Parts: sequence; C-alpha cells; structure tokens
Amino acid sequence: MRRGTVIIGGPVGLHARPAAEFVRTAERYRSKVRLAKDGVWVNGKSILAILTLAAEQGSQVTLEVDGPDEDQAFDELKQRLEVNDSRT
Amino acid sequence: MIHVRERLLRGLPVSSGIAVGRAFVYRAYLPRVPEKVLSSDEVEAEVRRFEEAVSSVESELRRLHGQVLRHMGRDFAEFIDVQLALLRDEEVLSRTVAYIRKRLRNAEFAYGAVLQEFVQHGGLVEAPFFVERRLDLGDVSRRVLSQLLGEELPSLHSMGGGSIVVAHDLPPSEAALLDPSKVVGVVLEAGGKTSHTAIMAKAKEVPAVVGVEGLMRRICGGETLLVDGYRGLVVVNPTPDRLSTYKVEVLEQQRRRRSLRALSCEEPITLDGKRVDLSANIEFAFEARVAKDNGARGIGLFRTEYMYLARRRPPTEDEQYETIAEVARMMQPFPVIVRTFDLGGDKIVPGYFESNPFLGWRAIRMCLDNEDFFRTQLRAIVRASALGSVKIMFPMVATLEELRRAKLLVWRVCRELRAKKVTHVQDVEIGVMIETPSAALLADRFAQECSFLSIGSNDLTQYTLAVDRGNKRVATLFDHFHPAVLQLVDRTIQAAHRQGVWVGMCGEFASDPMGILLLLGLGIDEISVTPSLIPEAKNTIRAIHAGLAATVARQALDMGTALEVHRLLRREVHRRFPQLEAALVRPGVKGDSVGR
Repeated sequence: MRRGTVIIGGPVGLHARPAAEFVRTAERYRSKVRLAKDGVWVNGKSILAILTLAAEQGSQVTLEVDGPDEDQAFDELKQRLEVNDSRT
Repeated sequence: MIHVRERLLRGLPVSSGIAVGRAFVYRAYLPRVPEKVLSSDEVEAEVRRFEEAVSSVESELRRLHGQVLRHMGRDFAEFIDVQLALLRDEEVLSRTVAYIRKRLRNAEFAYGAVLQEFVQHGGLVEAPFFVERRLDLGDVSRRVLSQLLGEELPSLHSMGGGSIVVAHDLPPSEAALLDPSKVVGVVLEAGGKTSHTAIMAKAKEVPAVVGVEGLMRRICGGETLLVDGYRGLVVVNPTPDRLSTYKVEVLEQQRRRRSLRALSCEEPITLDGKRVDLSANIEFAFEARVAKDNGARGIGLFRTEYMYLARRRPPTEDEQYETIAEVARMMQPFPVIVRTFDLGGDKIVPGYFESNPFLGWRAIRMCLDNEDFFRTQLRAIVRASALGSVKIMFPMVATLEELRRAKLLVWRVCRELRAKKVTHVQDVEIGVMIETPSAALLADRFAQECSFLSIGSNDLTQYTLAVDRGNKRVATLFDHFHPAVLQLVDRTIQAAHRQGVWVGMCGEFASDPMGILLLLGLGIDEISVTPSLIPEAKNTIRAIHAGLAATVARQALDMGTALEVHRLLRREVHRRFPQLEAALVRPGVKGDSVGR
C-alpha cells in the first residue's frame, strides 16, 4: 500500500472537471484508490464522493493506493492532483 | 372563428431575433419509479439488467460527445466527460448492485434510492463543487432510469420543425444539441444570461427569452408563440394584427440587411469627411467571420467570459490561446481587443454569494486576487499577440492602482515568455474600459498610463445613475443619454485626446443612431457594435455631418434631464440630418410600442 499527502494544485481546486479526470485515471488501475481530507475517507473512483470533499486549491488531501499496480497508480494520481489542470 | 386571447409574458432577452412557432413543452421530469420485490433467483438477472442499462447509456453519451464535438467544438463537449464520470461512479454502481442483492429490489428502485441517499445524506447538497453539476447528475440519472423502464425520454428530437421550446430549463445534453432547423425559439422559466442554455441558444443564433415567471403554468403546449429576443417578450396566441406587425418588421429587417450589405465595401466616413473606426463586439470566435463579412475593421471588444462559462471551469492557457489566435488570424491585419475576464466572483468560487454583486468582487478585482488564474489568461493573450494586432483591455477598473497592478502582471508575463523564448513577444498595447464614474473622472490619469480608452456605456450608465436595469421597478430610470452620463463620456473623450491616445465606445449607446450622432459630435475615434449592426452603424455614420453633430452634442451636454436630450435629438435630426432621419426607420426602434 502507498500513502502520502498531496497539496491540491491548479486554478480552482478539485471541482467536477478535474475530479472526472482523476476518476478516469484511477479507473485504469486495478488497485483500490482512496482520498481523505480532514479525516474523511472516500472512494477515489467515485466522482460524487470526491466532490463531497470540496478540496479547494491549496488544501491538503491524503492519497492512498492499494493493489497490484499501486506504485505506478500512486505516482500518476499524485501528479494529477498536484497539477490539477483539466486537460490531459 | 373565435380568437383565443393574446397574452404577453416578459423575461430577459438572451439571444436576439424574432421567431414565431408552436409551443413544445419540455418537461425534464424524473420518471416514476415502481418498487418491486424480487425473489432471490431473479436477483442476478436484475443486476445484469442494471449493468446493461448503464453501458447502453454510456454509448449514448459517447455518441452525444461525438456529435457535440463536431457541431459545437471542444469547449461545449466537455460537460459530457463529467456526465460519463457521474454515470460510471463506482460508489453509486456498487451500492446499487449491493442494494439489489441485499434488499431484493428492482434495479430502478435501487438506483433511485442510492442516488437520493448520496445527494441528501452524503454531504453532496452542501458540497460547493456539486451545485453547478446538479443538472448533469439529473441528466444522467434520467437517462439510466428511462433506459431501465423502457420509457422514451422526453426529447427535443421528437418534435416537429418550427417549434418553440418551452421549459423550466433544458438539461445540458439537450441544450447542446438544439437543432436550429427544428427549434426556432427558446423560452425558459429559469435562468439568466449566463445559464448553459442561454449560451447555447446564443451560439446557435436561436432567439431566446429566459427568466419568464410562471411560464410552465401558463403554457400547455401547442399554442402559437411569438418570441421577441430583442425586447425579452413572449406573445402567447398573438393576434393577426400583432403577427402582421412583426412580419412587417422581420421583412423590413431582411430587406434592410440586404441593402446595407452593399455598404460593406464603403468606408465609415461622415458627410464632412471625418473617419471613424468601426469595429465589432464579439463573444464567440465564429462571430469574427460574420464581423469581417459585414465590414468590421477590427474587434473592439472580444468578451472572454464564454470560454469559462461554456466549459463551466477555467480554460487552460492553450485553450484560450487557440480561441484568441483563431480570431486574430481571421481579423488580420485589423486589431483585436481582448477584454480580460469580466466575471462575478460567484462564477469562480462555487457557492460564493454576494448581495450586491455589481459593487462587489468581480472583473479586474477578482482577477487581481486570483493571480495565477489571471496570469494564465494574460499569457494566452500575449502569446496570441504574435499572430496579429492583439491588445488587452481591463474591465471595471475604478482606481489607478488596479491598472498599475494589472500592467505589472502583463509586463512580468511578457518577460517570462521572452525568457522562455516561447514565441516572438512584442509589447502588447494595454487599454482600460471606462465604465465607472471614477475612471471617467480620472480619465486624464488613466490615459497617461495606457494606450487607449474604451467607454463601456452600459455599466457607466448603471453606475452613474445608480440603476440596476435588471430591476423592473427602476429599469425605466436607466437612460444612457442622461446628461450626467453624456458629461462623463465627453470628459473621457477630451481627456484621451489631451493625452494623445485614441478612445472608443463599445456598448448599446454606440448601436443607437442617435448615440452615434452624439459620439461623432463629441469626437469619438472608434465605435464598436454587434457584428450584425455594423452595416447599420456605417449607414448612420455616412448620413451624419460631424461638424453639425458637434453643435448638437454641445447643446445636449447643457441639458438637465434625459427627456430634454431625447427631445433635442429628435428635433435636431428632423431639422439638420434628413439622411439620418431616413435611416432611423429600423426594427427595434420602430415597433417599440410592445416593449420597454
């Protein structure tokens, strides 16, 4: 299992569009993906759950990836949150 | 034959034009979901039925994505990516399957229950990032439910040609696929100028009126409707008289358009030989072509808000660059003036609310507080300036500090780009919109620190007279020919000329023939109007003697009330500007008995 804290980058935080991109990336991996903010954990493959985090730009979240492809998944997802710009 | 009584409904005009057609009422209801108890041997088949429904909606959405991409471009297709993510939400899917298995309920019931639980108890209602996506979730769940129920979704595809869509609001997927060959007009109960549907209607040039109170109670479908997208008027069961008045107006409009098109090669020069630059206000990149075809010699105001609003998120630097570059290439060698985001804070920060947004955190103020966001836009504009004559204009500036801070950012952006050798970066000309009384009063100082001024008459009038024209009770007090406004306009023009910079006007003031008369009299250098009004404005300029106009304008400045200014203009036009009087007969001016 890989776990680490990430500061949300990008212009406006983890709103619908970057959340959709995040989920799309997460879905490509078999590992379980979870995100937490202020102690609340949510499924990282659920856009609705991610939106409830209301993670604004500069806020700190914890990313956890657990599964057979966790290393690659963790790195890619972490980078996505840090850049958090909409286009791939 | 008994004629049904005519009724008038009022709303906000968001897309201009006049349309007559049959009302098609669109109700985006959620289908009624029956609850069925399953036996345990039915469960797996039910799970499969659910999964199949989801995957067939997925292919519908992919098809839709392709269509919107082809017809409207990338900006507009993007919301479907979000809808796809909402559809495949792992949490929703797995909870629904679990619900079917554990509670032995049918798929539609389980899905509905899971969504409701999520929205109401999962903290989504309060989630600021969710508010703007409510319509999308509704759109997606409606598709899944009707797929499961085997019901035909209410769809705009099923309606005949010549229809006027009447709805509370349209789901984003329907709005994106509005087919102008079938839908001749749109009337909505909800919404303002920046709603998704309003933007789509405007982009497709379908006349639209939104914010019509009580609309859905008053229209049941099948009525004849007349939509007046100039005045924000919907006429239900128009009388034969009304129809023929409008028919005359539409025909007259078409006839004039044709005859004015002949003017497109002529120069915008007054009778006494004074040249005025005539340019266009645009919002969408494709409008640049219309502007050029109509004879515009530049874009006097390129509004950038739609780049944000169509996507419902901040556009990236490259996206903005591509759009501005497209306009710059199209208009070459003429200038393109890009106005930086004139957005309210509520558009940037989800859930943000202000009780007095016009005096609040918006436009340049909001941009200066979001430096990264602002720099992204400035970089895009500076990069695009390598392709043609692209200039930057800042909206709603009230203080010199704002201009200085914004200029500093531009300067830093230029320096960075030069250091990176991204592209050949020149010094971009910077201008200020004069739309607050403060900026008009300090016009000399502003003119010393920038390359041009552009008067935004709508806001200048609103701030000078302290009138919100959206407020019905005070809207009649809004008059851009009020002497107080005229004095600020005059002051601004004089100041610009004293400091050796040019000054233009973009705003409704400049699309009114009487306004053009006053502006020429006050010595304006540039006039910028909607692309479709370019020939009209040129015709007006060519019918005016600038020297005589100056005499009239001086008199107008001495008046005490707006009414006196209007009287003066009517009298003087009749006396001294016979050619202009002939040009004044035009739709929108004539048929005023119905509106305003």
